[in-house]
Amino acid sequence: MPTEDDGRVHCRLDELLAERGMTLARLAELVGVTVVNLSVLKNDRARAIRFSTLTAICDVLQCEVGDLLVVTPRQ
Amino acid sequence: MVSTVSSAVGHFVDREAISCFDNIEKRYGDEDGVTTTMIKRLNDYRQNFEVMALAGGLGVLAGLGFIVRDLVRILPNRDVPVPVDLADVPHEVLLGGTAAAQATEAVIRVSELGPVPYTAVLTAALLPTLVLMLVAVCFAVLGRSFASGDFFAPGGLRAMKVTSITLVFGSVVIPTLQVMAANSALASVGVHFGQRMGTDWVLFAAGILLGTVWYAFRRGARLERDTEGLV
Repeated sequence: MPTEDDGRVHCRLDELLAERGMTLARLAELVGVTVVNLSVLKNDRARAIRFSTLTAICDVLQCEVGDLLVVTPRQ
Repeated sequence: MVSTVSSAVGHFVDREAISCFDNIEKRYGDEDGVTTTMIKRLNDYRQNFEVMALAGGLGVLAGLGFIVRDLVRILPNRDVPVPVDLADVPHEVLLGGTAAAQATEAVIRVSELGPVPYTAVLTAALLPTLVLMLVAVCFAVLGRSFASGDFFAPGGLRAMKVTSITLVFGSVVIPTLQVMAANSALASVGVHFGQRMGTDWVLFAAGILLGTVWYAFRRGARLERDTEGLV
């Protein structure tokens, strides 16, 4: 059920990619997800994420789910 | 590579129906025959939906014409044609002076109807056309939203719901009003034989069918909402 808390999940994909010197296109190729979808995730416009996508990204970037997604505090 | 894309597109079209004609054309358009045929097929679908919308619009116009015709016949309250069911008292008639036939319906002409019979006759004459016009509007709205690739547009869902409810109510109300109108007309000319009350089962079935389709579309809209923003 969508709530106003939807927008509080921040995706750190940008930072993780920068740390690894990897492009979004390359990640999309390795993960098997379209660049459009990864861009949606990177820009915090995603409202849901499949476990399979999450696992694949974490596998490629060698990180934990918590490194990729963080919940921002309520304002 | 090209054949992979083509088969992927074909697969996409079959599974997902057509959701975004233009995007598919821009994203997958190539020079080989398969994809071109597929794009042509998509455009054909769009044309079909446009024809559906057009047919709905024409239906509305035709309905307006019928309403004007009925108003012209009934409003003066002189020689108003009222259909009467003779099923319970069938009359033998000779067609062309030689062929024997049985009349189960007749039209009587009445004048100077009182306010209540007049209202019943007027409503009974106009209501079927209004219901058909509503169905035409529903077609037009659905055709328009399908043609634009938005299969679960709120307007289309609302049109389906309203039309479905109207058809179910109409299946009972229209025959009842027609019986009331016939009884009033017969009483005004001093003839009395009971008219059979009934339900228009075709309208009823159409209403239930459309209601089922509406329910499926509503679930589809919900699923679409749920997967929005899913990566």
